[in-house]
Amino acid sequence: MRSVFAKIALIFVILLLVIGCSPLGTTVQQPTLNQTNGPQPADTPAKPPTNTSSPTGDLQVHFIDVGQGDSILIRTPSGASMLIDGGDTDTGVVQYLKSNGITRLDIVVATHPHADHIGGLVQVLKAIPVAKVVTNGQPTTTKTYENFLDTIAAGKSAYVEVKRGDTINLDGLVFTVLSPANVLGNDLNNNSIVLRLVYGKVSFLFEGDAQADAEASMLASSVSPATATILKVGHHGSRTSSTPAFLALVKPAVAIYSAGKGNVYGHPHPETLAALATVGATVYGTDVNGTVIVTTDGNTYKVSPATGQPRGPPSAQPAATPTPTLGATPIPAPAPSSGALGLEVISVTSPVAPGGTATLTAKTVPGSTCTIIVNYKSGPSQAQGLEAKVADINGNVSWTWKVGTTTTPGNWPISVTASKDKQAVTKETTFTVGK
Amino acid sequence: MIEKAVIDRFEEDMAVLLVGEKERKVIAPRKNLPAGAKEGHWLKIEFDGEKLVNAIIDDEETSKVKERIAQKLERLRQGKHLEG
Repeated sequence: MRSVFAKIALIFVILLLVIGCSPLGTTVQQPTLNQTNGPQPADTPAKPPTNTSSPTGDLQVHFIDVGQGDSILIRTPSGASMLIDGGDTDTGVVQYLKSNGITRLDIVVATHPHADHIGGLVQVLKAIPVAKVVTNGQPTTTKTYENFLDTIAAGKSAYVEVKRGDTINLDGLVFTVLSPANVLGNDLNNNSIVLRLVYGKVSFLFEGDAQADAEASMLASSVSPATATILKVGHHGSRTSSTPAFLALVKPAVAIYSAGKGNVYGHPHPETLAALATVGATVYGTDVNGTVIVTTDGNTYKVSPATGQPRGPPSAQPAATPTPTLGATPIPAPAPSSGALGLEVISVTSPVAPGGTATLTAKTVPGSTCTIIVNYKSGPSQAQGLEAKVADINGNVSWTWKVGTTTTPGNWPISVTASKDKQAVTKETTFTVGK
Repeated sequence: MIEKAVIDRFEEDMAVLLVGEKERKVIAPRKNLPAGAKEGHWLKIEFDGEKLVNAIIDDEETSKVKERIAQKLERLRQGKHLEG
C-alpha cells in the first residue's frame, strides 16, 4: 500500500516537474529531484524549493586558522565534506585536513581567485582527491591561478561554475548561491561566491570576500540573503564589507572572520567590529581564537574556538538555545538569458538497492556532449554506462548503470553536465541507495 | 635586477604583488605602481633592497598570460580534462 502510494506521489511530482519545465535555452534552475524522495501527500500542492536541508545528525563547520586568508571545512553527518577556499600558499590546510581524517573532498569551492583563497587549494588538489571544483568562472592572471587550473585538470576533478540562484548539493545539504549576479563585474572580491546553508533551524552565510557592492546587490536581489545564525564575515573583517544595512538584514547571532594575527592590512577593522556589535553578534576571529569549529544538530549549535573567548560583545555569549532562524526564503528562478544552454534532469531511479540498476534521464540541446558523475562515499562511480554521451535529435540523453553490491547506502549526489558551443551547464540531483 | 611580477590584489592603499616564478609575495604601496595598474596586470619591477623603486605595466606579458589561461579555463569548462 505504502509503495503504491509512493509511486503515485512520485509520478505526480515528476509530472509537475515536467509540466513546470521551462523551455530549453534558459538557465532556469529546476527543483532538484531529491525533493521528490519518499511519499508525499497527494493533496499537497507542489511547493517551491525551500533549499532547507533536513538535519540527520551533527554538521561541523571548521573555520580553519590559515593566517591571512580563508578556509572553511564542512563535514556532513554521513561524512561528506566540502572545503570553501584553501587559504594562501603554504598555510597548512592540507595538514589540517589530513589530521582531521579527510582523505577525499566531495566539493571544493573557490570563492574567487585571489591568492589568499586559492593558493592553498593548489596544494589541496595535489594532495587529496577532489570530486568537484566550483568557481564563479572569473579568471585572473597569476601563476597561482594558473596552477589552480592545472591541478584541477591533472586531478580530473569535475569543474562547475555557479552564479546567483544556483544551488550546490553536498550529500543532501543544499547551498544556495546568493552572489555573484549573472553578470560579473571587474572586481574580484565583489564577485566572490556567497553561499547560504540552512540546516534545520540553524543557518550559515559564507561571504567570501564580498564587499559593499556585492552586499548592496544581494540586498536588492530577489534571491534574498534572509538571515543567518552564523555569518562568515566578508573580506577578513575589512571595512570594505559588512555594511550596516547588510548586517541588519543578516542579523547574525555569531560572526566569524578569518584574518592573520598582526596582518599588515589591519584586518579586522574597528568599524567592522563595531558594526557587528551593533547587531548583537558574538564575534570570533581566527587571529585571536585560532580555528573555530561550529557544531550543530539543526536545533542548537556550539561554537568551539581553539583558544580564548569571543571578542564581544560580552553580553552575547554563545547561547545554549540560540534564537532559531526559521524558514528559508523561496528562491525565484533567475532571469533567463537568451541563447544559453539548457539542461534538465527529468528522472532518476531512487531508491535503488545495492546491486540494483539505476537510470537517469535528462533533456538538453540536441547534439550536446553530456557527462555524468555519480558520487558515492568511496568517490565517483566507475560503473559501465556512465560514459560521456551525445544528446539525441530531441535532446534526450540517459544513462543506466549498476549500483555495486557493496555501495554504501545513503543519499548520493549526481552531477550532469551538458556542453555545446563552448558553453557548459551542470545540474545536480541526488539519488538514494537503500539498504 | 628587473623582475616579473603580477598584481594579485589591492588591499586599500596596498598592492599585493606575486614576484618571480615562485610568486614570492611582496606588499607595496599602491602609489608606487603606475597609474592605471589593475588586478591581474603583469609588471616589470625593480627593488632597491626591500623597496620597490620601479614598476612598469607589461601589457605584452599580461595579454599572453590572459590568452593562455583563457584556453586552460575553456578546456575545463568543456570537460576536456575528463576525457581519455
